[in-house]
This record gives sequence, structure tokens and C-alpha cells, in this order.
Amino acid sequence: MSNIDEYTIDEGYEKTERAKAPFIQYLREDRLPHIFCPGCGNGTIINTFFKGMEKANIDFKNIAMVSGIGCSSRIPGYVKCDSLHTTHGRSIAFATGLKVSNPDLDVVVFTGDGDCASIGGNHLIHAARRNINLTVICINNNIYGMTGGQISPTSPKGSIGSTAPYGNRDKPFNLAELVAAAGATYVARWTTAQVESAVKSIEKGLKNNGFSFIEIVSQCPTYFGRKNKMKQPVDMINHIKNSTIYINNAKGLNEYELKDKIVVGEFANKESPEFTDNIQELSKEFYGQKTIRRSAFLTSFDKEEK
Amino acid sequence: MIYINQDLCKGCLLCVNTCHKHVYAVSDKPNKKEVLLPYPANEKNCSNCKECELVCPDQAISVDIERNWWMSKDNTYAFNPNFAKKRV
Repeated sequence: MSNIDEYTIDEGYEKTERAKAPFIQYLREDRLPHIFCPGCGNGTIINTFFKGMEKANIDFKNIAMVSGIGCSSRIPGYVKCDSLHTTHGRSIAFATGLKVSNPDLDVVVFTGDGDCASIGGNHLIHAARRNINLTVICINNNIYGMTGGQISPTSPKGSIGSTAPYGNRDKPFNLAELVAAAGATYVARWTTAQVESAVKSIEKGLKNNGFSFIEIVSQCPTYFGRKNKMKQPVDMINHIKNSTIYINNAKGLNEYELKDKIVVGEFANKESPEFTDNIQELSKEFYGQKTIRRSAFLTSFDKEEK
Repeated sequence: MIYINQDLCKGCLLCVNTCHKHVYAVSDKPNKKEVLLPYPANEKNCSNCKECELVCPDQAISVDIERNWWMSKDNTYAFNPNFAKKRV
């Protein structure tokens, strides 16, 4: 790629020869290697997102990434596109404002489980209820990884964290079923062990006209794995791989049999009217034309001028 | 050719775990940061599925191998196609 030089800080900086990995062309090369721990699942999800984006035939320059606070929300800092790093839990609220004012953009939200489920839970539910055309990728690592291994709303029953030294007694959130019940049009859950299926559902979510939510269960070897006797990332990914069940196989099972299992698959795939289209229809009914975009650059508000 | 960038690789060994053709192996000597890095030990087994490129969290692996063993990169045969014919 020739336009990498735009983001290098020094002009006299000599780039060393690096491997031309296929998705490194979308990343800011001078910031690599990134800050994530060895074996973290966030880097894998960067690759899966770019492969899904290439399969969906979406222009890379038309994408805007929004993120909150957390390990996974550092991803847009490494990507060469328009990005917005917002306050804790409010990434979906910022993204709705961005989408309503610029309906042509493809807005992608990267959130973690603590960002999305605990502090921003209300924003998640209501964005799903309104059915805005966003693509939310929730990276679920079952723990608050950035602040030192506290128990998060999605950490499974019996797991050990720094705030639960005798094991967690609470029931975890089932995020995919929650969002599907709130009215989202595309909901899927995969893990980092099943990368190709995650690519396919990211492609479907980008093409979908409506709120699409993709939860990817990833590994956190430093905080979740070290306290639960899975110190190596290979041990964690084997544990994730062994405890998955496809959704069609899990239909007849009771609660006791699904105790420590991760149900995987598509939870919702339907059609319903979209939020920004509803606004345009309302404007056409009462005003006669679509809503005015970029009104600060207009000289007059006549109906003829575009 | 399979190339692993040693500046980017952190040694999580997920590529060794995911490859179903057993292409990668772990080296004996640690590098400067005392991490045992993987290396492509038997490249001939590679079936060009590119799963390791997707799974690698640090974007260190690049796989550049011909699609089939009998075709070279410029879309010509890598062997003599008339090897079975009788010479006149």
C-alpha cells in the first residue's frame, strides 16, 4: 500500500521489512505490535472483521468505528479509518447520533462485555428496540480484563476473579438472547475457535439493514485463565472449543445439561422497519422532502437546493 | 512460502494448536525476550487453508503458497506434461 506514509510521525523514519500479512494493509503499521497480551482474542477478531468486510464488498473508506472503554475498545486506534473513542458504556449512544446525522456511513461498534452489558446495558437494549442500522461486535472475555480481573456480568457461575476469591455465585447474562428478545434483526454468537463462521456472520451483519449484534466469546489468558487454572492461551481455547454446543443441538436439552456450555449459532434473522428510514418517511409526510443534511454548509433553506 | 515476522510474534502458539496439518513446530532456543517462537517446520504439508493467518492475533504470519502442487505461480505447469508420451 502506498498511502501508509500518511500516518507515520517522522518523515525520516525508515520502515523495516515486515511480513505482508493480508490484513496489515488496513492497520497503522507504525503502532504495531499492539498492546494486547500474548494470546489475546482481540487480534483474531480484527482479522475476522476485515475478512468479513472484504466478503461483503463494503468500501473501507466508508466505515466509521466507535468504541467505549476497555481492552477491546482499543481496536479502532490501530485501524486506518475514521474512529471515535468515547466514554465508558456510551459507545452505542454516540453511534446512533453518528448514524442519524450521516445515514450513508457504515457504523461499526466494538465493545467489550463490561462496556456493553453492565454500564451500557440500557443503551444496548434501546438501540435494539429502535432497530438502528448499526453493527455491534461484542467481544466477551468473561471478565474485566483492563482493570485487574474483577467479575463481570457475563462471567460464568463458579469462576474465580479478584473480587470473588471463593467463586462467583451469580448467574451470568445471556447477551445474545437478551438482544434478540429486545427486537434486533440479526443476532449471532461465535467463539474465537470458530473463526470462519464468525466471518460469515460479520458479513451478514454488515449487509443487514437493521440492528445486528455479533457476540464473540474470546479468551483472556492473563486474568481469567490464570485464576481458573488455564494459564496458557492454548488451554483456554481448547476449553472454549470443548464447551460449545450448536443451537439446533441444544434445543431439546434442559438447564442442567446446558450448565457450563456455550450455545453457539444464529439467534435471530428477520426483517423489520429501520430507524433512519422511519425518520425520512415522517419528514416526507409532513415536510415534503427528506431531512436536510449538513445544514451548516447551506446558504439558504429553500426546498430546491440540495 | 510461510513467513513469520519475529518482531510482531509474541509466542502465544495458537498457530501450532490450530494447524491440522502439523506444519508448525516450537523452536528450542529462546529469542531476546526469552520467548519460544514457532517456525514452519514441514512446509510441504501445508494445504493453503490460511486458517493460521486468520487466527494469529499479532498479524505476524503470511502464507504465500501455490494453490496446487502441480501449478507454479505464473499459472504454468510445474512438471513436464508430456512425460508419459512415447518419443518418436
